[in-house]
Amino acid sequence: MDFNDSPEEALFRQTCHEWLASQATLKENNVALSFATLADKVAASRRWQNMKASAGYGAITWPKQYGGMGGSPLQNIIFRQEEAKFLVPPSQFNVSLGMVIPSLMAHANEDIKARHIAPALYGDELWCQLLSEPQAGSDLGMIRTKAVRCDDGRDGWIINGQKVWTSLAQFAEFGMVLTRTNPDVHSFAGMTAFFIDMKSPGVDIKPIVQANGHQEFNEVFLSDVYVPDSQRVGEIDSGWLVTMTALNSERMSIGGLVPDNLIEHVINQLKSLGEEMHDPALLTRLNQLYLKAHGLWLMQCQGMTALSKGQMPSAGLGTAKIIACEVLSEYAQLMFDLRGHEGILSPRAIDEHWSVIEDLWYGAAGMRIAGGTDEIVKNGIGERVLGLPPEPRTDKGKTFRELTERTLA
Amino acid sequence: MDFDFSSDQVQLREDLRRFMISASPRSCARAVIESDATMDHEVWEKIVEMGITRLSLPESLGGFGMGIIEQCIAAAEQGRQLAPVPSIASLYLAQQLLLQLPASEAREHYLHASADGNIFSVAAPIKTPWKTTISMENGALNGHHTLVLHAADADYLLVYAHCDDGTPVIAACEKKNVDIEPQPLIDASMSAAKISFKQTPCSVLAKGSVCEIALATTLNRAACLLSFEQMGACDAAFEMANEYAKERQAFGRAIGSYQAIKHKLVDLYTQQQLAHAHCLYAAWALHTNDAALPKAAASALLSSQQALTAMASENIHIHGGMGYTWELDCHLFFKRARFYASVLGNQHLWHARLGNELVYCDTMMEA
Repeated sequence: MDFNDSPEEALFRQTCHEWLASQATLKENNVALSFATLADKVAASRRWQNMKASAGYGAITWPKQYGGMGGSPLQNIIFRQEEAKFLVPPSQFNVSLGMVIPSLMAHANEDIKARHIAPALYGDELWCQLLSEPQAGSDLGMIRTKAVRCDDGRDGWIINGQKVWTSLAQFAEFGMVLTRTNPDVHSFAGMTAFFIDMKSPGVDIKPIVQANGHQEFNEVFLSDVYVPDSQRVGEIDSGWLVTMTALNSERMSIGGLVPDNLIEHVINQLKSLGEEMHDPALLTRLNQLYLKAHGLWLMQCQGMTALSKGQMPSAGLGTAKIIACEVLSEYAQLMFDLRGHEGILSPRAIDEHWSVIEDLWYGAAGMRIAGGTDEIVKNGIGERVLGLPPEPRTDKGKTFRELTERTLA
Repeated sequence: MDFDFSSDQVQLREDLRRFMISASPRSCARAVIESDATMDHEVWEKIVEMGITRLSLPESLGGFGMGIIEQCIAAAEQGRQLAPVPSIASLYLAQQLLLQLPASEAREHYLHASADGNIFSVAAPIKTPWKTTISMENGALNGHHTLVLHAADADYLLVYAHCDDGTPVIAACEKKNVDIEPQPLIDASMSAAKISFKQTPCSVLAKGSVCEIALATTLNRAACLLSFEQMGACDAAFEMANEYAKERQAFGRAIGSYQAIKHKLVDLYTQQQLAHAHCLYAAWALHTNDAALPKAAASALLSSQQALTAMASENIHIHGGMGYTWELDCHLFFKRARFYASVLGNQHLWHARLGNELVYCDTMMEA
């Protein structure tokens, strides 16, 4: 048992590190790059993605035929660990390259793949995912955005509806959209996936102001948007399969949930308190945070060990997101408390480091909702890992039309 | 990255699981509670026969020469069965303490005896300052210790004492010359006693500051092994609750289908996964004798204690009224969890140790 790289892993890490060192400078005190606006951040991320792709690091795990490195999930983690040490823009391509394009690879025809994969890989085209709607969050089977066949002789579809929580839609060139094409079958069976040019007539994007003042996600209104049938992904009424491929592509990712050195920050802050730091209650809070943060890191090491042996990480790693949210929230709360009554000051008035803590504090609240709420994640673990029976469902065997009529009634 | 049990260790775990299920079904723990016995000698004999008492000792000392990680695996399997045997006293504390002492003929003799399954108890403080009322002068012990684990079952006692001039010693003596007064325990499948020495002849194994260093190291090593035993019990209680939640019907469906029960079980499972990771880290620190051992030991002990305490309590609750009966095994876990939570010092002691390691010792590796 050891925490060291195997010789091959060490060699790969060194190669990555050397390339990164030739392109960027190392972070000091773990301080990341900052950007005046989100637009600047996205633009910088596009340039960095282009540099990575040109050097073969654009998508470590993708097959070589699509411009990837054909590397293992573990090599992907190693690259990201090394990348995190450098002053480079944070990636805005997680949805594009981690979810949408893998789904295109699995379900789209050769023409689409030939046209779209490379520009996405090189950062020239950013993709978003148009999934959630005001009335369909955790239960995506209830989406109402409709796609109907054109009746004017064009070989295409007309899409109408509203999407919400769409990350980076305001910057994206393309969007994968899940639509309702058949209301008279079970809700998950009547959906079809298309991709649309985000500049198409009828696409109206309104950024949402988040609780922390940022505007990363959007409402997207689709009014009589025409999409040619050639932009359909997968079979008609098989959109759920396409969406599941995108959601599952994320599952192999390990790490990146919590910043490094959290505990060091708390200890440094604690030490600045002088005598007060000996308070056993404060030490207990530090310990409890450490037990979660370090425990999560250790669980991820177990996951990486499995990947290193060519196995799947244990199902227990499914709890990582829940633990990470708790770590971030408890970390930020403890740090604010350690400021004493100055905890009421806006972190922005202090320094960059405290702004990051404020972002984590808000971020944790959002992370508990995004990509599956805590409750949905717990249902998944309870049912798939622990083998507990699902809740009885009142939507079973009902068509989408029956379900919506009942909600309206 | 190679942070997990090896395939040989996984195989050993499977073998030991099968062995412990047949050697020490939970009815053995129950039988000890329901009788005047202080342990199950038959179970212990089988454990000795299986070689668990000599698992991690070097071959030169009568051992199998396997590693301490294998000992951790054996501890977890004993915990699963709530085995009513003196492993904490004899293996995690005494055997580990002997290993920390300077080489001598006497030490070698006792390690062979330990490997052969003789039971050892340790009469020593569990925290600094290392206080004791036991004195050692002219090869004889005098004084008492209020609570010594498995003293009534022991063949030998290892004793921390002070000489007249205050010099610490660790000495060994036979049980026959010691006055032993068993105490009723919260978990009667375990045992502990008040012991008194009166001119008890002993042989000195170590003298001077080496004794205290050995004691401190032993406590950390014992904490790691105890953490595995706790997680074995935690896993067994979890399986019991989870199975029941799948079977038990209420209002026309299995209670495990209700989110109130399902999410409770997922929360316990999450706590269990974190504790397992800390235990694995403790096994790694034991194996490599890494400087992180004190931190890893405290983390493993605290996280496994928290996981088992919550699990034992919710196991009763998920079983409803039946969980509160003598008939079901829930109370065996509940009592054992409470016993573990105090046996090497309470959570406040270990929180103080962990906090101290985190704030003052610079062995941070990640997160």
